[in-house]
Amino acid sequence: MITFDNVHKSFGAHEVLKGINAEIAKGQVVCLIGPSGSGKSTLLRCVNGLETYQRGRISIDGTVVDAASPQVHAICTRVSMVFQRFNLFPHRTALENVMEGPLYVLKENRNQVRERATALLNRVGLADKTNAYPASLSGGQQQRVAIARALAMRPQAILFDEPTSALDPETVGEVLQVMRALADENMTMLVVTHEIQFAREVSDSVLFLDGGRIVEQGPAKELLRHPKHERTRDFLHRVMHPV
Amino acid sequence: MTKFIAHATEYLPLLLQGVWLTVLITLLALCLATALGLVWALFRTSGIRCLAVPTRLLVDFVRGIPLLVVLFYIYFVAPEIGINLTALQAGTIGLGLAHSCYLGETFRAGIEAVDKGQVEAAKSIGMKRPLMMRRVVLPQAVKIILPPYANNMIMLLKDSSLVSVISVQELTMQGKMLASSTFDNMTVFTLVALLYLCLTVPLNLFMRRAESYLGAAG
Repeated sequence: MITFDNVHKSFGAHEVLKGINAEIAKGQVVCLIGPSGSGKSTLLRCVNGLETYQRGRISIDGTVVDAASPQVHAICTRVSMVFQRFNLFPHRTALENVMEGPLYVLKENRNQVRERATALLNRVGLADKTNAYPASLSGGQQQRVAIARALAMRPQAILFDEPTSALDPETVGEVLQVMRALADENMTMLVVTHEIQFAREVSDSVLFLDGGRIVEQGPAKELLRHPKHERTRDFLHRVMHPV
Repeated sequence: MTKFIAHATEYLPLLLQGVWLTVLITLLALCLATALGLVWALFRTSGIRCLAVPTRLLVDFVRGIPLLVVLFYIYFVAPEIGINLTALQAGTIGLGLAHSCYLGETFRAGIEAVDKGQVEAAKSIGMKRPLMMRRVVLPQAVKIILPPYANNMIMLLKDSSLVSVISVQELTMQGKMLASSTFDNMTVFTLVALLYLCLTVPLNLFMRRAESYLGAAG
């Protein structure tokens, strides 16, 4: 469904992606792991055109993603994104945040959108927060609204950019639980994360990036239990035994 | 004091005619300045060079010329190229144009101060730039823009006194004429100053209320 074909990306003279090749099938959950600055988030942001790439090709169901093309907006209606810092619209309530895309971008009927948005908030466990503004919600609640906002677009895939990194340890679980439920419903998900346990339990495969290259990729359980590459072993050891 | 009150009652109706014109010209110029300022800000933040560069040059150009000269230019030079404007029209356009350049920069600063994450979130649900501006960026920028905008409104109101030089009979002009016919400078100009205060103080209070309202709305 999402194909990376020799993707290269530079910020000025600094090359951050050095030929990424990978394929994500429909319904798969793929976790991108790796040290800071390895290019994980940049790769994710290239998928929905938030970043441009210089060489190679990213395609979604055969449609090439080109951030400079006017069609990139259409891509975003098919592939939603959940951000590390939630990025909810602070001047709109939780319900309005979820309704915004379907109502103004997809131009769907207001009553139907309201009904669906309410159901989505209910699904992420926030039925009682429909009229709350983001500032009055906890980090975990905000991130769940953000997931509902992404789902409201009826996307074919969702990109998660470190969705739990900005959360209190106490609220990480509630967000991972929602993501796990999505995975169970066969939503295609590409997740940049440091939650190795989540990656092991929920994802189908894992890509380990370092220095802009995929060092190792494979089925999640196998790669995380028996990494072949020395660099992967070293990284996983540091993440799981930080002290 | 009784003499002041007696004279003030006599002069006030004449000065109030000027107040009416001051309010009219301020409101018209403010509408023009706000509309044009928004256009300049959107052009400058568009990322399209052929819009951004000429706008920057225009803003720098107009801001570099004294407002009086802009007014003279529009009122006296425009007829030479076949554009005949009344003093009120020339004054409104001059004030509006000059202040649109200041407001444009204020709006631009407000737009650029909105968190980049908001723009990314809007893009990630497929919003194109006009929709993103209308639904996401501008409503948030308003809160940032409001205090300097209020400042600009008051400056514009006070600058409206400059259109007296092209014979618009607004408050300052009325005051000047009244003073020269009565020689009662003290009463007339005290009244003129008080009348300007009567306009600016409520404006200040209104903007402060608007600020706290928007603040409360999250």
